[in-house]
Amino acid sequence: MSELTANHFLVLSAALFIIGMMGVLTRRNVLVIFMCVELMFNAVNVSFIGFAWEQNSLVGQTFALFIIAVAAAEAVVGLGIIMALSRRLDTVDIDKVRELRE
Amino acid sequence: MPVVELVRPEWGLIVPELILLGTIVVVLAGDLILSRRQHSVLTWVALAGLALSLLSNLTIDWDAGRSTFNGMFQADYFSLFINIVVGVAGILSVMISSSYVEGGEEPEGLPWPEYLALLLFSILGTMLVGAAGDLLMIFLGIEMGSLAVYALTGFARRRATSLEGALKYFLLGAFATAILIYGMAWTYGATGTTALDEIAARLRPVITGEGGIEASLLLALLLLAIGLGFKIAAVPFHMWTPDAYQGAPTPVSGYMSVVPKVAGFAAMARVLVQALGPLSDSWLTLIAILALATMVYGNVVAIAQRDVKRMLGYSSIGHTGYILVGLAAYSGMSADDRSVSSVLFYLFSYAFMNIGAFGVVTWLQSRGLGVTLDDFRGLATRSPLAAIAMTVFMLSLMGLPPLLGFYAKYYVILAAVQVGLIWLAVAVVVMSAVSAFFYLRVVAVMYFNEPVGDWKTQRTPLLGTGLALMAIGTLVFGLLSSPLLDLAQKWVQAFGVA
Amino acid sequence: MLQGYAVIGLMLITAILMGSVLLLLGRLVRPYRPTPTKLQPYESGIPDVDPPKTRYTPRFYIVAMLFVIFDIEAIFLYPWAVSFVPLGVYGYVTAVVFLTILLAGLLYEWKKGALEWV
Repeated sequence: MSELTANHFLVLSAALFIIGMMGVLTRRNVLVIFMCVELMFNAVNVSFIGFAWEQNSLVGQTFALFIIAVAAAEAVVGLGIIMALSRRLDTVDIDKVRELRE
Repeated sequence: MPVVELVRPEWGLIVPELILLGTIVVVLAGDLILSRRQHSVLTWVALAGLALSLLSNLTIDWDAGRSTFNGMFQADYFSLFINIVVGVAGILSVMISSSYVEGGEEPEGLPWPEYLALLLFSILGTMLVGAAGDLLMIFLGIEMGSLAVYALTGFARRRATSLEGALKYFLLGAFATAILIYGMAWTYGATGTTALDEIAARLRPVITGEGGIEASLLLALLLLAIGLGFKIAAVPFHMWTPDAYQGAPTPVSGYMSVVPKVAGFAAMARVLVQALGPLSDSWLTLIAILALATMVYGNVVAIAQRDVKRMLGYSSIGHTGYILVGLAAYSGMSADDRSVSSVLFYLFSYAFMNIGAFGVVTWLQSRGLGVTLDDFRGLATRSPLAAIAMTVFMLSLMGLPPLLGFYAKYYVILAAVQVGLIWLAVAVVVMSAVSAFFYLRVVAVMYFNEPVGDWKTQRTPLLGTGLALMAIGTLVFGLLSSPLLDLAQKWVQAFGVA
Repeated sequence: MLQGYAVIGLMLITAILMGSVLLLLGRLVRPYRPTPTKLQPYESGIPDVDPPKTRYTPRFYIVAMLFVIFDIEAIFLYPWAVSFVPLGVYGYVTAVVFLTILLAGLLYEWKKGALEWV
């Protein structure tokens, strides 16, 4: 147990990913859902770094850098949409955002 | 310190992308320099840029199937076909958008240059997915395309329904992206590389080996399939589709029923066939089941819809199912395998039919009508040409010969029968019959009902030209389908080079 | 092959069980006794007079979002900085091109008025 192996990274990453996923599926606040998605992104980063560390290659680290940058761009677009919607409807509860129906 | 040997990129291979990027820069600069009244010039800039980008495909030697940027970018026949599909879809989308966005169909109007720039960015992203040679490029291309389309969906920001559609699209899209890249991480972990050809090369010995496939590889496969399933709106990952289509500005709905779908299917072909092709035994059944569920759900639920945009949203889910049948017919990289070519041809024909159908809805909206079935009442007496165009699109979506949609379905069925997936081929035929119900209803309402509501006369030359082009394309390309199909068939050559 | 899927299925079941058990456990164990005082946003402070919407201009959000973008783009400079010498002139030119693109973005924002503080 004292030795650090790739499995430690993978278990941490899987735990973060599943926590994020449960959050997306159970939370009702749009901002919290979005934060859970970001958590999933970062769980993936941990996986990539873990695999790169195990295989002693840089590809995984590069991939993680790009994921960070894309996540930032995604955050800005998403926050823009959430902000515009919350100013219009005065709520961030996903269950109250339901004007589009059959 | 050792000097790194840097490989100079071959800029000649990415000319279509560079031209499109240049067009975007010009559009953005035009936004800053020109006054509001002069913005319509940018329509022609965008159309010229897209046309030039399409033409510049001729300067590249596709036969060589070369790759550049250290294998990140592949210029092969697959990317050529994707370039053609999205280039054409882009031109058609700009044509149906201009009157809607500039004409003030939305409260307080929409800024046309920003709309154009986002549209072009999304097209550029899709072209990059088509040419991707690495999981990283697929991720970046998909994100570039999706982020622009999220923004476009919520572009009518004074209207809450538009923002609601965008929010749902965005949250599920980001969720899907997270699953997709987790799959990429596991692929990287199991194979030690992210280059598509390299992944395939390392998987081949694994398959022939005794021990069977590792669970980590199957997990990677499952995650990738789910992530991409969200992007193409396959059941059960389709929840965002109807809301996003209904909420978005109408021309955007037309656009996003085609180009992001092209990106999703291009990524699926690149990832599942080119990289994970050796594992095909593990994913073929999965895709076949997805195909069946998707087409049954989409077509059956579409019957109950009164809102034409929402109906077309469900029908697009149905069409995703048909296209997946093509992918499920993959049998190996042999010259007579028609799986990916039938997918490519379907995407091409879908661009004409579906952007056209949304174009007619846009046409009605610019004449003061709504988007429900009732607004189509008596269209034949008010505007015979628009009614004829809509009839052509509806019959083609239904799959009536000799229209383009018939050939698209025919090739998919052919591919399925070739590999013995008779039950899927039968399902396509049955579901086409079911879809006749809601497509023909639109036609019937146009011809056999009395007009209601106020009709205001409006001149929309570009929209009209676009609709005419798409109607003619739907009629003509079906008969000219064999050269197109021959071009699509060269995917074997594109993916086969290892 | 089926065996492989069985492993994944087992993992998924474990994950779902873990998630739901944790959520359920939390619900069962935590006490839930809301009092009016507890439900106030600030238990020991001055309650809000206005809804928070009226207090902030959207400028705050826009500046924050722009900051996120430009802050994160800087991570692409780290790999370049680490291998500055071996990459040589070619790397330098590439980095300058990258920064020029960022600068163009900044200029666009500026001209669009996103940086004006009204």
